[in-house]
Amino acid sequence: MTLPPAPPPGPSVRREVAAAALLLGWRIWVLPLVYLRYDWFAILCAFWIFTALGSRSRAWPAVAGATMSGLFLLYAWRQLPLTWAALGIGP
Amino acid sequence: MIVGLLAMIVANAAAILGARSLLERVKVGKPAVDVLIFLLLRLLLISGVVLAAGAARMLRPLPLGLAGAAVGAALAARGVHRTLLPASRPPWDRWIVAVFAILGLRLLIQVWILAPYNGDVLSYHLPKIAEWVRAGALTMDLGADPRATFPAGFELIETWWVVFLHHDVLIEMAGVEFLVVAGAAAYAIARELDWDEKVASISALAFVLTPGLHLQATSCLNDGPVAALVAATAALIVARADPLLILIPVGLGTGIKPTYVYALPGLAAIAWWSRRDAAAGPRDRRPAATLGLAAIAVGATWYFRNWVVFGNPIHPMGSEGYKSVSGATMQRLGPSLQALRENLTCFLDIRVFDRHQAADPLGAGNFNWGVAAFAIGAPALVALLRTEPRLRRIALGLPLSAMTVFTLVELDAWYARFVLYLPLLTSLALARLWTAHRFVAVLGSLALAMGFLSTLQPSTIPKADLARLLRQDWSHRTTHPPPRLPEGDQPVGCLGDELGGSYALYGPDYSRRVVVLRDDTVDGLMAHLERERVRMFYGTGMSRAKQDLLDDAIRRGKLEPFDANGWKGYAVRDAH
Repeated sequence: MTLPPAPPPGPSVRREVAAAALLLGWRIWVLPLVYLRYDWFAILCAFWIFTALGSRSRAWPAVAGATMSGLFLLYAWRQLPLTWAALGIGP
Repeated sequence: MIVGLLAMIVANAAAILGARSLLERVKVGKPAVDVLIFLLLRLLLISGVVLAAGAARMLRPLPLGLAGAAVGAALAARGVHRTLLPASRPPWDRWIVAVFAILGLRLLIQVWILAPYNGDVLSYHLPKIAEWVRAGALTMDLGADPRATFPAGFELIETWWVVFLHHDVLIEMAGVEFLVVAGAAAYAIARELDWDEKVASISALAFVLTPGLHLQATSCLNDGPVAALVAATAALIVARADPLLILIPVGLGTGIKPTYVYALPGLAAIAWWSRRDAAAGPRDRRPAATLGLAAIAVGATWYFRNWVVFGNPIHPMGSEGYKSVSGATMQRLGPSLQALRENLTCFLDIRVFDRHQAADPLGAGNFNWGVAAFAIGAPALVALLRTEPRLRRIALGLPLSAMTVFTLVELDAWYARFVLYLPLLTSLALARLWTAHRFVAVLGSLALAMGFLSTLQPSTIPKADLARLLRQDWSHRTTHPPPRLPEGDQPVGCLGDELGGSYALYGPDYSRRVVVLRDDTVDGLMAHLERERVRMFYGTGMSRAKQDLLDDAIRRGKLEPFDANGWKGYAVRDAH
């Protein structure tokens, strides 16, 4: 299956980038910088900015895959040990 | 038991045929949406039958079985059974069919093995069911906890699954029914967005594997059913079904929990944004009007009862919300910007990461939406919202619903379970990109496998308790049995204010009569015990005043306390 084409760059892209940047700015404002790189919402905002600007680029699948993999690790790092422990698996 | 089992089979067959017959009058002509309407009609029929039978004091296996046999025979004579199966098999991938089959089998095993275990469930959701099944009627006494008067729409479906066997071994089937509704709603929405069957089936799979939603299905809690009905309402709105039909999930949801009502503004927004889409059937609006109004009547029952009995439709909530016996505010009433700010901040800063404990149905400290939603579905949604305007409406509407919920509920450890419909969005997005990009399929498979693992068992059941459940004979299976019970068929007493697990006193087969003790003086309590021939009782969730009363009775030599397995028991010294 192929996805519908992304809209061409224009005012809507600029609006998107502005909205995502505003939300990212809010996270930067409310969170200590040390937590920001692990912040799910901030990562999504950054990904939104990249997607708005580069969804037609050949790099988009790689960046999307890296974002999803990174978030996967971020989630699993804390949750997997808890799941194993609940299931009685592991030390 | 054999009569009950036969009656259960016959009555369930009649409910299926009845729902199919009603669907014929209100179907919209879109297969995925019609399946969802069929499931909702079955739940509406069951709710109505349990209410009517309870009011007529016929909430027993034989009358229900005989009525089911008569109705089922009449519908079969009209050939309704021939229309049950679809003309052609949906073109789903084999692996998806296999995963759904494994999930279904695992759910049946979980239903069989698990006994009600959650504190709220044991304290105020289920004691009323025990009273209803014992009396064969809807009773006024619903248990010691004042929250027993909360809306009980979900308990109607649970009652259906226990009344025939006079036993709670299948009580979790009620939650499973709503999990199926949730999956059907995700499927219907995906099809309405013009996505193919594979995307729709992966959407359904991802949504039902949401850890919080999945574990709710076998927990006897009602937040999963609310999420399922919010998703079902959204599906009917997106399909542009007749508003009279949309009243069916609205009525059912309102009768289950007010948090469904809190989600309505977002659903109304989706309806507004979809108003120019082509409307779907049915052509004849009269049957839809009858069914929609019936659903509203079923849902309004509890508010009407509370208004008549207590003068307040939302009893025990008052103008200051619901307060515990210690005076702490357990739940707020009315909107609060401070609540919105606190709930939203806590949600984004803490809950979404699911890092405080393994998955459980209440979601203490977590959102329990799983890695599939957190890591794959959320970025996929960001990408898709740019190109899918109809998905955008749902993706604006459901978070708006979540915002109204956050504005109307108190920040506590468990509030995130009120918005378990949000992973519907990430499930749709994950499924859509699954078929477009191989890396999404690979990561999505891993994520769903992790979702499968994390829903094997709820983390809130200690391993020792689970092992005990597995060892127990099914007919005696219970999570927290009292250490001693009176001999023979003598009643057992229950004295407490809130959060006491009095449900366990009835026994899984509801064989024990439980007398709720609400007395404020020692003499009054002893007279009550004498009058009801109660020789032993348990204190569950007692306030300081109740504890002082019992200490006084012990000092006066009237009661002998005993303490075991976390239960506080009292034997009557000079009775009879």
